[in-house]
Amino acid sequence: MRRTAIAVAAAILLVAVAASPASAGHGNKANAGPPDNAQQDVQSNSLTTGGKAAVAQGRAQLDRTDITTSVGGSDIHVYDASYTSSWYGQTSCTDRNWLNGKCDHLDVKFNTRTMGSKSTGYWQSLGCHELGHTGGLGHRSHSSDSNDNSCMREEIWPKYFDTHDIDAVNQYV
Amino acid sequence: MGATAAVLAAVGGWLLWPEDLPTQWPDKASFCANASAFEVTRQDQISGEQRLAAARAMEKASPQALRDEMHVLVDDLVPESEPHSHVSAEEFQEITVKVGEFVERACGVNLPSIRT
Repeated sequence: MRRTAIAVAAAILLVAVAASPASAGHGNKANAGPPDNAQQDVQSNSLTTGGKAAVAQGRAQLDRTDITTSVGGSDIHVYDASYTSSWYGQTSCTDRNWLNGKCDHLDVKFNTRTMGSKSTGYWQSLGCHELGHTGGLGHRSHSSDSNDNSCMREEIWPKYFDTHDIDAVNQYV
Repeated sequence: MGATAAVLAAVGGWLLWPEDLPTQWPDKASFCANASAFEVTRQDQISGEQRLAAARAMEKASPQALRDEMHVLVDDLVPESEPHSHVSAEEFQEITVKVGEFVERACGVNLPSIRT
């Protein structure tokens, strides 16, 4: 007990002396490992109509895999806002297991600044793409998606996972 | 100010060190070198095979008091097709935190989602 009390006191003093302001950065690439399990809660945070369409499409695509999605706050948190950057969407792992690299919590952000004028189909493609990252998927290119039907492409806007994407997610979970 | 913080960090680290784990052991250099593969900035580059190889090397070089925990971690990375044991999700989480905190304190390696 005494050792714990001393430790707590030392920790508080250390924080008071050495603490610096917290900072956060925004990249423009996916930074998400595979999910830590096949049951993924998705929490939508005051989304626009486009953001809601994106989440619905992304969940529908994840549900085609071995992942089952539901509404809840324990896994994937989705936001949309006007971010001062050129990216359309961003996915990041906010709680990664150091050993296996799997993600327990992920943040998905849709940028209304760059997506605002786009139609629902584009939002659906973006939702498929970003929630695909939460399933552990990386980007695809024409060389590995010659029929151009994977939403994990960056330069075109398909709205669905292809069979390769589905197989890849199922390998992770 | 900087010197005060360093002293407090050292004192705090000693006070929080698990009493059953050593601060020095013969294979510490190997253990820490392999642990560095899991450093936060290297997480996107390391493959599953590399994770398993590094964890196996860490198990061999770990302090005796940490061998059981390291074996659980290695088994988590072993492919499903190979023989391995399972523990509950809660137990796995406790062990990754215990080993992770030990790695950060003993080796000075910054691991994701571990706070020391």
